Amino acid sequence: MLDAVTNLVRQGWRNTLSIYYANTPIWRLLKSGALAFLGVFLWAGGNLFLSYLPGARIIDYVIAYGVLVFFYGPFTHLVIIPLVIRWRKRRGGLRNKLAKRMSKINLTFFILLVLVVGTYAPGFMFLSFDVASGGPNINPELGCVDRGDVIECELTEAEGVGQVVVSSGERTLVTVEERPYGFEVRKDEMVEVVGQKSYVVEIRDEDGEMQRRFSRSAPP
Amino acid sequence: MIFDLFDNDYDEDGFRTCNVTGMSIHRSVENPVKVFGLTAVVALVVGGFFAIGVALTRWEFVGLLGPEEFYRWLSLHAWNLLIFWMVFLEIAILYVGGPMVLGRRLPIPKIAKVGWGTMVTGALVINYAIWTTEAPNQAPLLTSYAPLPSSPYFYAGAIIFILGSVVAALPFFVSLWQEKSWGEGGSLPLVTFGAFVTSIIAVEALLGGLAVMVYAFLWRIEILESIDAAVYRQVFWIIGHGTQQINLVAMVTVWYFLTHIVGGAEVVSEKVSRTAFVLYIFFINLGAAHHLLSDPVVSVSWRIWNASYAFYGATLASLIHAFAIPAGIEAGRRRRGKGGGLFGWLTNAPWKNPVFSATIFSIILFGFVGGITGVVMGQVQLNMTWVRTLATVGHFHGTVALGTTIAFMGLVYFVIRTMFMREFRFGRLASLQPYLYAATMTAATLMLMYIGLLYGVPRRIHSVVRDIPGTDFSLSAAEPLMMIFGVFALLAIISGAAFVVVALASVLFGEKKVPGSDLVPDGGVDFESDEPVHKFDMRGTFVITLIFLGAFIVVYIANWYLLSQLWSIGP
Repeated sequence: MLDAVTNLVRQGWRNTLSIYYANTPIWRLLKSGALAFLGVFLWAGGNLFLSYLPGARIIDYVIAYGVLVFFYGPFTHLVIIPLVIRWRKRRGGLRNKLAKRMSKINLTFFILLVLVVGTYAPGFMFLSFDVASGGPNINPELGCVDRGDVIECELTEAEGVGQVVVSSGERTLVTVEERPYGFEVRKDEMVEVVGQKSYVVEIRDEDGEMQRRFSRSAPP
Repeated sequence: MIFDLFDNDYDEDGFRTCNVTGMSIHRSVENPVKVFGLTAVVALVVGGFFAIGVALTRWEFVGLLGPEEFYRWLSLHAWNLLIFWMVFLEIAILYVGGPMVLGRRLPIPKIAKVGWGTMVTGALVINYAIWTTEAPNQAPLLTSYAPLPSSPYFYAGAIIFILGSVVAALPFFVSLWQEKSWGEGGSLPLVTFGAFVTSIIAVEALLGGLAVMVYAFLWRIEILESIDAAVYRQVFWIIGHGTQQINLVAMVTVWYFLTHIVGGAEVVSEKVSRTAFVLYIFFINLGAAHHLLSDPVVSVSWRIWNASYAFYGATLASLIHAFAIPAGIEAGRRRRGKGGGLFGWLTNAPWKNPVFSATIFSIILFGFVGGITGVVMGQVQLNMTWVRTLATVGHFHGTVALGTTIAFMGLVYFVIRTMFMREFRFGRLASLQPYLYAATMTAATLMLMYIGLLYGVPRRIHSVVRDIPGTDFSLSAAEPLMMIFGVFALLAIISGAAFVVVALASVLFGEKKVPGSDLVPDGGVDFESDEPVHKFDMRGTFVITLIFLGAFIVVYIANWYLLSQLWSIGP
């Protein structure tokens, strides 16, 4: 049993090494693509978790790893590994000696970089979650009453409202620009669709920007 | 020149032998496949054009269209890409999987022509109806949810298109009936079996679609006084999601077909693969229930049964295919002497051949992006954090744009080489195009999911990032991610346009040439070993499957954890 586990671990380690040093164009591309994908996944996932768990420092390191591996992973497999393999093929010399230790140096440098960037956590790694910086709250209520041939409407809670535009189909029926923004619409001016006469009330602010849109049907 | 496209070297009986697949192909099958394929590409062009307006509007930095135009463009984008591009090509797949693989003539060819004509008419009417939508009618998007009224022409067009699809599928059913009546007996080939399962799910979806569109049409022209919106929603999703299930099963069939032909894959266990297809018949359409998980009308037990029990029958089927297809590639390539190491069978594959690369990208990206998120968001509880947000849009771009569309692009490349018998124009671009499209569309899709999950940015709204009108609630923090989305969405559209350029230039101006050894599996048609395929090593696939399982578990647990953080339970 122990032997089987040892063999499995040994074989796994050999496979990992052979993939790490695989240097054909398609292998370089696959490894770089996979590491870039992993980088985005960890950066995005880390920020997502941070939005729920603000202050969890461990996540800073996950995000730092994600950001760095996105750039450093492809750099390692497109530049460093091909260079290491080329230098290893030389006999003797400084480059050959360096190449034999290059992967350990490279990995150590990368881990140190993750620790430093994770510790100092520069702002560009993080997404903002500030969601309360919009405009004023305009929240009018529209009340309408059926008076036979016409519909009578009035607006309450009209703070911030600048204009009320009533339309039916493609036609504008009424435009009101004065408080208290009451209006009447005739039923025979409304467009009928699937047996129902309908009209749309658009509430705009003082700059003419649409803030609310009510779609109503008139009783027959 | 146009008629030259439909003229290959057939014998006196109208048959020819394909030197790539070895199939005996009759003119009456091959020409409709080309016509349906070309029509699908035209729909792709139209839908892709409208994608420009949709992407540049949701990317609020540009904010191209106003609300009214946005919904019009979004509706045209949805119908042309989700329905017309897919369904025209799926009819072609039925003809390939049926009479072509079986070596038969196309039965009742006039019916096929009538079906094509009816489908084209329906598609044109729908495009016209959406383009000319005026208030009080609403642009329908995909769903045309009642009681919001759309143009009566829209419902009429949908009915015509659905009827045309059923008619166009009839020759496929007749060819199966002929095979079982007069054939040599035995099981249908796996690809034919897959196409048959596709057609069963298609008929179910199309009949559901016919029911709901006739109901809505009668209401819209005021023969019916009112419409039950809840009934509409429930019946609509029989076709609404059903069409996407047709895409899925057709795509899986294409995976088996193309990985075998250009990648040298073998089916390791036909019984297992066929069982997975049968699971689709029983369970996959129940997955449509996940569209109604936040619908107040259906009961909790209905939701849980469909989306949290029955749906896993379909998930199991997809997981089986997700193992069986790469395992088939690995074992098949090792059998041809193209193995070596853990992943040598994969890395020495014909990656420059766009038919192969498109198929593999489709398998990987559908699994990792579209598949995992589909199972996660298809659950009653987790659905709450996904539904109504851009994350949902990300999910279905993962399935349809990354999975089905890339697979179908590979299929079109294959048809260009083996049926139109044209060399690719812009050969280098043809080799690169699946890479470009896969990379850029993946980035855009991930951003959609991420923006939806992280910020809750809603879908089906033309502008929200700056602010939601009339409230102090702002989503402006999502703007940096929207910038990334916008750039990659545009690049994805350009990559899609590159496909159209290569495909049309090759068909119209490519050198006519009988396809050679570049499409036959490298390692040859003959095997290096007489050992049965299941005796070969599949450990590379096993490792890939473990990585997939790991990603699945991480995403699953993360989603549950985040959901649990939304509120506290207990004192």
